[in-house]
Amino acid sequence: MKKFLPIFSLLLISFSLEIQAQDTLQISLQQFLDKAIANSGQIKHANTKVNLAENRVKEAKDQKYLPSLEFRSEHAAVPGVSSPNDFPEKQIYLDPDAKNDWSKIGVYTRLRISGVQPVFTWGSVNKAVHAAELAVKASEFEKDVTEAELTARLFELYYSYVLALEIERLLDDANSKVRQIERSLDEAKSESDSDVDETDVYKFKIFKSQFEIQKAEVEQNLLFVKGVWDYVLRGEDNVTYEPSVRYLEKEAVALQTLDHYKASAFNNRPEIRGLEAGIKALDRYIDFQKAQNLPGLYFGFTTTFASTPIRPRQPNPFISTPENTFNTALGFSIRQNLNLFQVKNKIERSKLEMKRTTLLKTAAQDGIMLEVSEAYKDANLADVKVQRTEEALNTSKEWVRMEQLDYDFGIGEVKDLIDAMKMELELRLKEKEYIFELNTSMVKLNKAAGLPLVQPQNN
Amino acid sequence: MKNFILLSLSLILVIGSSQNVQAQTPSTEIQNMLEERDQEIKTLLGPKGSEYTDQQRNKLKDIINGVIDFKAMATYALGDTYSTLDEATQVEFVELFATIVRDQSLNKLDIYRADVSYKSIDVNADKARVETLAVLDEVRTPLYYTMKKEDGEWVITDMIIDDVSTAESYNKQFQRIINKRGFDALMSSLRKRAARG
Repeated sequence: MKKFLPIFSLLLISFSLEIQAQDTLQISLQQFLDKAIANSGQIKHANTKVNLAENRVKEAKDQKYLPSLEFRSEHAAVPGVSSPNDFPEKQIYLDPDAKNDWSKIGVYTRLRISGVQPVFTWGSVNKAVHAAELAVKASEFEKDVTEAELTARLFELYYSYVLALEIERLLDDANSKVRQIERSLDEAKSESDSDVDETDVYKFKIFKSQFEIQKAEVEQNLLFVKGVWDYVLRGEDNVTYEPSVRYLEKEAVALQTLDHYKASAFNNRPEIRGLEAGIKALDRYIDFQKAQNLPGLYFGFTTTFASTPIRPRQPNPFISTPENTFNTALGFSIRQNLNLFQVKNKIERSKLEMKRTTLLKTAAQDGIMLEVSEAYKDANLADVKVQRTEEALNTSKEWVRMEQLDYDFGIGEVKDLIDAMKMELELRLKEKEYIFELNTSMVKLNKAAGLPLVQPQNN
Repeated sequence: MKNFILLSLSLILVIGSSQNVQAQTPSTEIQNMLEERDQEIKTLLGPKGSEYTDQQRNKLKDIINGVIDFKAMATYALGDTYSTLDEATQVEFVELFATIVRDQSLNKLDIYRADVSYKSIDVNADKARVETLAVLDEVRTPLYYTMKKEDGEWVITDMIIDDVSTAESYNKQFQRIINKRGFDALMSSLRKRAARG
């Protein structure tokens, strides 16, 4: 039970609750991973971060063509104009007494469009685009980290179900043996010349009670794992899932040397590759900032059109009225940011950020090397446990056979047979648990080494 | 309790006399024989929960045990002691051994419903080793047979069930009884066990 709780707790944060399950469908590990990952809130969150980074690339690219382009329209109600001295309409501007005529109200409309196109900015736009592209890579590696962590937990969850099924079968088998012993004891006790020792009966009763506890534990574990599965997979259309893998077997992968895993981690861990991409992105960002602070050449234009039909358009080119006008201007300009202290500080901050990321990479490498060593130790130990348990199990099988034969020929003791069967059952359970431990340790080791986590299924 | 013997016998179900052997390789011959026998037993067993008459049970017992070389297995189980016995005792020993094994073969018929797949069949002259996997209710049991060709037919001389040799187990068992209590005590146990049925 304890084994499953951490997995469940970790997965809780990734998935939302929605349980509907009636029909049973067997799914492979890969299908389970695909489905669970597709439902994962963590992965969706990581995807959003990648999307945001990609959006920044588009934003940077947009700076290449007309980064500043604006259109504006203005509308208002304005009075007409009258000339008390009766100047003709086209000469009203010459009347010193001309005034607004509020008896006539018209619509004033002005349209403006303006834009700026960078011509030469020391490659700052391309540098910004490159920095943003590297930031996308960094966020993709960040997503890989999340996916690897989730995959490792999901692998454990998938095989938790397989382990629970295996143990359930082992206990079913053991249960029939327990019943056989009970029948044999009852038969022996009912015989007139019964030589059954009451101590054996007590021992057997205790064994049976302990066995029932184990059975209850397994049943509860299985229920628990099924619940988590439904939770993680969000059973849809009245479907509940169970693993298509029926047997828990040792993965056919030989343990390599520690150096092999360390070297692999150094080259493949997404955390390190993400930090490397981040460092490169910051480097390019510094270049971008430096370029931005150099004088840049720009081409700009602006066009304004205004019209107020109730007010006369003055034909004199030297007289311009804001109510009726049309003009266009275009030309080149050089822009230079003169706030040198701010510029210097910004660059300094980016350099510090890069230094921090570089140190973070070193720290991550140190942590990863420790993680690899620890995962390697665990996998090695689990491998030894499996091997030694297999040996012990074979011995216990021989012991059980011997006790069975002894008992069958009437020369054995019930307690010896019970002891042998208990040991065999315990070792069978241990063997399955250690195989589970070995397989999950190997996945953790592969994750620590940045290797593919999931091997092809072997049954 | 008696699983060992029951399981042992469950394996025997797949063994039978060779039939229709026409230009077959020895391994094909063995597999065909085992598969035919397996099918014959399953047909006789019928669906789960069937009731059987004494006649049907005897027929099953014959088919299941028909290809075991009880003499070879009993001789091996008794070890060096066998050669020290007079002929009548040897015959009685083999008969008792066969009776016990045959009787126990029907104690749990469900095991004969297992699906058997053949992993490998290695033939060396008149000897063979067959590796199979029996699956019943999702419980897998690896089964190995050592066989020999006798009078033109393949017979089983030992079965290794779930990594434990049947002949070897009997051998250890019998040696222990002989060492502790003597051969007469062993025969007495066997007679008592055989009489129990």
